[in-house]
Amino acid sequence: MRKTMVVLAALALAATTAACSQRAATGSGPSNEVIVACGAAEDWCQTMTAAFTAKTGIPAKHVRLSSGETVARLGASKESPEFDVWHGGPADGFEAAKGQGLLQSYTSDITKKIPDKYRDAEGFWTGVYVGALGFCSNRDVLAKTGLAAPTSWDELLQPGYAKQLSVAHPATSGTAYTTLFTLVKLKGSEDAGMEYFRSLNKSVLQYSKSGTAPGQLAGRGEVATGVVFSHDCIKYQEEGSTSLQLTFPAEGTGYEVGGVAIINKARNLDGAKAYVDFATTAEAQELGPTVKSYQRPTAPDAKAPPQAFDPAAVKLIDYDIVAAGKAKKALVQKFEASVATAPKE
Amino acid sequence: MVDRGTGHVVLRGLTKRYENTDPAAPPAVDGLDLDIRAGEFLTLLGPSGCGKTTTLRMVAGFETPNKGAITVDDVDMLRLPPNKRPMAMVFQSYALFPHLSVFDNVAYGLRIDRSRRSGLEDAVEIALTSMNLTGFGARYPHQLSGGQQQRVALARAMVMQPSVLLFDEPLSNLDAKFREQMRREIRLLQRRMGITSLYVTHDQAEAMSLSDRIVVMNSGRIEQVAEPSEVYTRPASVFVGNFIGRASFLSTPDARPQGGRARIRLFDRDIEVAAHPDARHADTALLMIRPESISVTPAAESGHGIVRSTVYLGATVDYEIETDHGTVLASVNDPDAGALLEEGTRVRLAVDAERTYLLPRGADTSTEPDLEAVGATR
Amino acid sequence: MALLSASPSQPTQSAPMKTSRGPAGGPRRARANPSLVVSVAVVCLVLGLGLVFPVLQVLFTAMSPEGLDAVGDLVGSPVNQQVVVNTVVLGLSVAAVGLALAFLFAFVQTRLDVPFKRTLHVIAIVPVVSPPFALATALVVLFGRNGVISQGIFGVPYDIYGLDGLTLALALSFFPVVYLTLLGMMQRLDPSLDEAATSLGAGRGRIFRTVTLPMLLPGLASGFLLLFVEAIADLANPLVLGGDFTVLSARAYIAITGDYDVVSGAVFSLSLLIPAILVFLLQRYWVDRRKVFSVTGKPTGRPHLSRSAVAWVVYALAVAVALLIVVIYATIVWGAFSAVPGVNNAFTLSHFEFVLFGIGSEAMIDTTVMALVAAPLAGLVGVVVAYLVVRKLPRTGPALDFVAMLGIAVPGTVLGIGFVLAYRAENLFGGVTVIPSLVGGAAVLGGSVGIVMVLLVRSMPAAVRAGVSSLHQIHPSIDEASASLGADDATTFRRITLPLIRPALMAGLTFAIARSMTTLSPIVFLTTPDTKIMTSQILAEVDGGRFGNAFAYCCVLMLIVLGLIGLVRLVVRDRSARPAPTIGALTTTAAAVPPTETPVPVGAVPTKE
Repeated sequence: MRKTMVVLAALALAATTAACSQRAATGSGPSNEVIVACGAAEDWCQTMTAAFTAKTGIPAKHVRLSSGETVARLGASKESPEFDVWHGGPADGFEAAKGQGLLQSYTSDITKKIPDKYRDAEGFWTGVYVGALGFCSNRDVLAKTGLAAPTSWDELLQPGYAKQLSVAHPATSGTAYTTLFTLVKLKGSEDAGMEYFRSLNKSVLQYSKSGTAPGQLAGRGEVATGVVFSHDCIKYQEEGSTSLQLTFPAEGTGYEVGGVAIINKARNLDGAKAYVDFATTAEAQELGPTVKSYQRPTAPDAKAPPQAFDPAAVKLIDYDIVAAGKAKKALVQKFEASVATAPKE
Repeated sequence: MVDRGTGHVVLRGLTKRYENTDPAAPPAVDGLDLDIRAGEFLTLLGPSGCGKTTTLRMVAGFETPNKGAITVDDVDMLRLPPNKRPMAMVFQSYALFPHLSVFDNVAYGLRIDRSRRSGLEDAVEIALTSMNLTGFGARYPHQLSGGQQQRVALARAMVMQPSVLLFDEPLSNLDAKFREQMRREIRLLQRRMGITSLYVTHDQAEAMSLSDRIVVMNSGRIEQVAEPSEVYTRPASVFVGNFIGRASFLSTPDARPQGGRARIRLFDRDIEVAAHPDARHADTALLMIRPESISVTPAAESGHGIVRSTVYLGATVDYEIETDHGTVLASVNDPDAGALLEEGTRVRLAVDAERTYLLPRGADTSTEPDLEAVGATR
Repeated sequence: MALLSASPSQPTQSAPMKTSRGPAGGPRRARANPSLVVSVAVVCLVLGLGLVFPVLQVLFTAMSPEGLDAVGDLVGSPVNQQVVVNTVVLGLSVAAVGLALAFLFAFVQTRLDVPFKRTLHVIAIVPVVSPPFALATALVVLFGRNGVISQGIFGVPYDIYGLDGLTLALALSFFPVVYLTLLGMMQRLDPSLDEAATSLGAGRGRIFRTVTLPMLLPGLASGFLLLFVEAIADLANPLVLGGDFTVLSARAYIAITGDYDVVSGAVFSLSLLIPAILVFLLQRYWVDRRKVFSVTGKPTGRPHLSRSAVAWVVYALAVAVALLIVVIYATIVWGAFSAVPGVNNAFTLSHFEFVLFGIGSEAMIDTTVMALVAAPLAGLVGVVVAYLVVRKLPRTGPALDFVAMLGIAVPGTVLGIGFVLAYRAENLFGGVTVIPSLVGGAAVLGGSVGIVMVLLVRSMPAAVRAGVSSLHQIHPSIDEASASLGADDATTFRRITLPLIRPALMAGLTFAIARSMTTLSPIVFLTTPDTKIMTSQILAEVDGGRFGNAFAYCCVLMLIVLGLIGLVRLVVRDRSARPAPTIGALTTTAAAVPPTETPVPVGAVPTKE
């Protein structure tokens, strides 16, 4: 029997090693179908694909994935991608995918209508929405602790805010990294930015892992204020956390751009191109608010929902997405070393 | 069900050494040669660790020998897995299937053998009836007494009508009364069916009452193969004499063994006793005296020894008597309870020369049987 | 003498038993058993394809220069060292607490004469079905800084985030499986052993320590291992409840989702295997030296039930834990009906509308179908693995056991990525397609094959553990008796072993179903447009902060699981209308038979090796 076992083990090993030669999967589904990796909320994804099919007659399906999962999946199936298009999710994810050669460049007359600062110069991704960082505060908790809704980053440093603030950890959350990079910009240097976060440490109850969690924590009254994208705060409000209140820092705030891109070696390239064109139109970008996604559209001719931040009232800093992406690794390491390690200790 | 003349088991040079044991230690079974005649009831008897169970399990196929051969009616058993061997085994722990009824337990083996499915119910009923289990078929093992469980285990093996029945200390879990009853039943049944039986026990009374022949084992080797009476009266070694029944061993420096007989002066008498062929020198020989072959009479003055302990057992009384030759155990039948010899009494002794036996001392002088074996004699 | 007569132990017989489980190697091969070869081949195939091959793919990736950098980072950085320490601490504390809980409930069931035991039994099993995030989120709602209980009742802003909250959530999530295993074992313990010990003058505490505990050791040890591995591999709970207490699984997830760094994510994940392997080896070293059988085929009586003062204290403890479980699950149900659980408690049906008639309905069906395929396979293969490990492969068995256990020890993200690496493309062998694309959109059956395979390897380990500890209790002579009556290995397995370990099989199946329905982390990488999985929908809802929807999903998921378990009970039930010979009925929820209803037909043979 031992002999049998050895033979079997050898066979198994041979099978695993010999099978190493792989070939790209030959498509079996309808080739005109567009498969979308969707980084936004489920209902938003459904609305988008349905509208795309209605408009173009091209069938479309989606899988909802976070940006990190998308990049991981794309990376693992590089030679035989599962998806044709990636839609939704912050631009830094698209930058990472671009860096790993997972995207392909595409520009058209429609995508060129998007302002330059909201799309990749080489055309690897195009911005479809913008969201601005804001302070999402719980009115009840503010009243209890005698705090006013904050209107400046420095207000978060006051002693009354001790353990009453929640921000996500920049290592885990794009939102939090946007916050970090924003403050580095605002304070003028990396060191000054770090100094700010060191002071902020007293105020922070928890560096959450998810970027939206601070909004939830504020909504549940676990903390007074959470730093999140404004559209998330509004969404929580509308979902029922009625005591939430949104304010913006007067000195300026950072923003994210949500993108759309075509996957390298996409099986349905024509469909993917059609999808990207569709996603950058005003028509598509106005669908978000119907499913409570209140980001600001990037198409100049699109009507922004009243719930989105008002660029006239909110001061945006000059946020360089490419520079932010390049600085990320070093900045996060610095943050972990001098402010808060992934575990807080 | 008559003697089918099959079931001739031959073991040749059977050796088993367990892995992960000290290589310097002797093997569990060491070059065993044995012939079991068709229809014979043969018992492997010996103290713990003598290799008897290992031998049985090799025959059954649950252990693979390192060396040697096992054949049944000239068929090589080592090529067959346990389930293909023409044998059925009765286990020490009964190994009844707890989730099957008594009927299903007994029918289990028959159902596996397609050729025996017809008439299965009758066969099971007959087996149950022969084991006094009529009407118990629908019950489950846990609803039976220990004795009944053992009968089910027996019925389950017997119903297979195997060429060879294997018993692994099947009675050791029963209380004394049941044990004797089961012994009789096993013997009767085996005689009636004539199935070759290999029986393992460390209980010498069990071995004596059941067996056609007894194999006494020690340290993986056979000490003696013989009929019960011969094992008892003419043991092949001090070890066997000691293990089977009770005995006193006296050193008799004046013994003069010659040609299978020996003259000895013992307790003021010259006697001639049978001697083991190897018992050639007095200083390497011991005289075995069974306790029932020695008579004890109180002596006024001199005597041969002093009573050191008196144990009254009802049917017999045991005296331990200190003599010049060593301590002697004497067992007196049907004693008068009012006239027991007190400890310290001087006594005269006489032995029945026909029932004593001169044995070579053997290389191993520490042949005291272990406590378990002695305990088993009661 | 009492002890001797009560237990049919023959210390002298220990030597033959030692190797009774397999041939030791001799001059001639006694058997070339086809069913054994086939079952070994099947098991090897399942584990090879479902586990070894994908994990090796990730391992090769991790061997790259970046991977080695990440290894340096992991070893060198004090931050990461702390993460490793945290992980081990968490694993140990969850294992300890979970084991205590499991034993507590099993003890109440088998040894106490107290009311409402059936209710307790059912409650203790409920957490088998704990969808990711459900327990953790409910705990936050109840015991968070603004928790309904912590703040609402006691007025204490308790900080549940961290080790304490994590330990509680994980221990509650994973203890039921261990409970079921221990319950089975304790019911099969021979009460005469206790009686024997009592007659020798041992006090209750002493009996427990010197007789009961050693008999349960295999179950306790394998329970500890299971809990430890589950705890360190879990992802959802550390994400919600971890707070500042970061563990490896979360760190790996962060590396992948936050840093877009799959390689160091893989390295972090793979390092999870080291503590798992250590605990596994320790367990083997420890347990293998004490082997205890309680099913010898020699039946005995029923246990003595205690009603002493101590009994009531123990009972009160169990009731308290049961209440906690009830409150947690009530919170989930209540949350599914409130606008924003814990904040805005207005009653609403909108969450269920969303799940049942909106986006979720497709996921419900897909998830259920795939679980229905994967779970029975997992249960069966798991039990076969256990049988091979315990009975047939004394030498290679431990390795097989270990590989099977990797199914839960391998972090979900690694398994998920491994599957994409291994099966996204077609696998060729000499230019011929051997394995078609199994993963992703254009794959065979919409990528569902890959998902089913993941569910299979992921839910198998519990079945293996249940089977192993259950088989360890059955004396080899039962198998030998069957062989001696002419049955080959396959027949013995089918007619004797399977019925005897039916409780373990049921437990394994139950767990496999729950597991298949609630697996998250590897699935995230395998979902396709055609295969929507409920757990990844739950993740999306939690991500979006819509706890109401998430709770509604959890409710539906739990109902489906309970329904499936009920179905399995109907199918696997002993069809012969005879009294259940063992504790078969107990192992699952719902209509379980009270444990002591049928006397337990076993004796006990402690055997030293």
